[in-house]
Amino acid sequence: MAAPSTADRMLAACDLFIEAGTHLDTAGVAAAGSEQLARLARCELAVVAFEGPDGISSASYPHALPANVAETLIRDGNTVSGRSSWLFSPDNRVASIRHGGTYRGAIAAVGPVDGDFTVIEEWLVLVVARRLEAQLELIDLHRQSLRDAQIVHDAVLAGEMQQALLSKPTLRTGGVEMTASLRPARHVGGDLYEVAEADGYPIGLVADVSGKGAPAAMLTTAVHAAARHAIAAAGPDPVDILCRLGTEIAPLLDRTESIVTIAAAVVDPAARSVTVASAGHSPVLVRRFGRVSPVEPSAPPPGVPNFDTGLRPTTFTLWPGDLVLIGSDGLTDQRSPHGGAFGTDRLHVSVEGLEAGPAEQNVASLFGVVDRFRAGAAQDDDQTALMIVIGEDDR
Amino acid sequence: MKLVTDNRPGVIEVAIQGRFDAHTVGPYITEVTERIDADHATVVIDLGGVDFIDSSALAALVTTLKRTLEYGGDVVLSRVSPSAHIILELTRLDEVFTRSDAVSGPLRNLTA
Repeated sequence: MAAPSTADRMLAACDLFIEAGTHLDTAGVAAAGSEQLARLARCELAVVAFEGPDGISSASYPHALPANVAETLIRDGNTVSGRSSWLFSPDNRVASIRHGGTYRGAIAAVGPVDGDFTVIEEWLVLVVARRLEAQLELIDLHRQSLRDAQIVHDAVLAGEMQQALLSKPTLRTGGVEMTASLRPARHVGGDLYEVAEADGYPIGLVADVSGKGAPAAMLTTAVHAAARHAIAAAGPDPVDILCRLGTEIAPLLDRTESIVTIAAAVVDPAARSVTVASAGHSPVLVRRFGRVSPVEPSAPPPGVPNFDTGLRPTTFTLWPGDLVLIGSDGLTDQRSPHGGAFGTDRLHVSVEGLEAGPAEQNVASLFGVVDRFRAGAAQDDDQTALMIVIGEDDR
Repeated sequence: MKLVTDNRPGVIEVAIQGRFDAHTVGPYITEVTERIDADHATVVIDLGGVDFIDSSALAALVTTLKRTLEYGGDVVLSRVSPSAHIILELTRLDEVFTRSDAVSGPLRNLTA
C-alpha cells in the first residue's frame, strides 16, 4: 500500500488535533499525543512524558512504555546533545514541552520508519509538542473556570440565604405602614433591615456594616441576630435598642476591626408619632407637610469606644401623607455613568416628590429614581430603604 | 491612593492622598495601625489630599484610635479635606478624633 501523501497526513493531523481537544485530563493528553506523534512522524515508537498539573503523565504508541523511559525523557529531554541513551540517538527526534513558562518534559519520535525523518516529519514533531502545551493551558483554564463557577455558585446561595434571613418586609397596623427593601450590590452584602413589632409598636431598624463582600456579609448575619435580640429585650425604645445592640456586638466589632452604622425608629400608632435614634447612620429623612428634613445621628457608630454616650431620640408627630425614610448610603453614593453621585440633595428632592401612597409603592418609586440616575452603570453599594407612611386615621 | 509616612520619636505620621477606601485600606493598616506600640502611640493622619473615603477606611481609623488608646496615645486628624469632613460629620466621627490644621511631617519633608 502506498505511503500516505503529505496532504493526507496533514488532514489526519487536523482530525487528531480536533480529537485531542476533547481531553481535559493530562493522562488523556499524553495518550492522544503519543498516537498523534506516531502517526504523523511515522516512527516505530512515540513517547510522551511530562510533569503536569496531575503529576507525571506518560504514554507511548504503539507499544507499551519501556521501563524508566518516562523518567529519562523528562530528566534529559531538554538537553539531549551528547547523551548516549538509545532514546536520544541522532536518528530520533525529541521536542521539549513547556508549561507555565517552565520545562516539564518532552516527546520523542523513536526509530523512523523509512530510515530517516523527512523535514515535514521533523516539523510535525514540533507541532505535536506545541499542541500538547496548548492542551495543558486549556486544562488549566478549564479547571480555573470550574473553580470560579463554584465560587459564584456558593456566593449566589449565600445571597439567597441572606435574603431569606430578612424579616417579612411589610407591617401594617393602626393606620401606619412600614416596609423595607434591600438590594445587595453583589450576591451578599453588608446592609440589613429589621421590621418588627413590640407591644403594638412597629419598630424598624437599618444597619450598614463596614467593608464589602463575604466578610461584611458574615458579620452582617451576626449583627442581624443581635438586632432581633436587642429589639425583643428593649421593646419600643430606639435608644435602648441601639445601646443594647451596640454593647452586644462591641467585642465582635473589635475582633473584626469593623464599625456598624445603625438607625432605629419606633412608631406610636395612637399618637401618630415616630421616635428615631441614629448611631452614625444616614440618610434618615422625615417628610412633614411636603418638606424633607434630615435626622442627624446623635452618636457615632458602634465600634467606637463609648459610642452611646450622646445617643438621643428625636420624636416627630406625623400627619397623613407624612413619611419617614431610613436608607443606606448606597442610595446617595450611587454613581451615574458619568461618575457623579446621586447625593443627598437629589435624595431629598426625590423623597419630597413621592406621592402620598402606600409605603411599598414609595420604596419602589424611590429605587426607580435611583435606577434611572444609574442608567445602567454598575450598582456601587448595597441599597436599603425602610419607609414609614402615615395613612388616614381609620379609627 | 498615595501613602507617605514619617516617624518622629513616639509619633507615626502619615499623609493619605487620593481614595481611602476598601481597595486601598490594606497598605494603611500595614504602614500605620500595625506599627502602633508603646513607643509609637500617637498617630497623626493628614487627610488633606483625600478625595473619597468609605466605611472601610472609617473602620480603619477607628481601629487605629482604639490601638493608640491601649498605649495611652491618641489619633490626630490634620487638614481634613472637605470630602472626608462630610463623611466624618455624617457619621458623627468628627467628634471622636482630635483635629488639627497643621501640615503633617511627611508633607513638610516633601515640600522642603
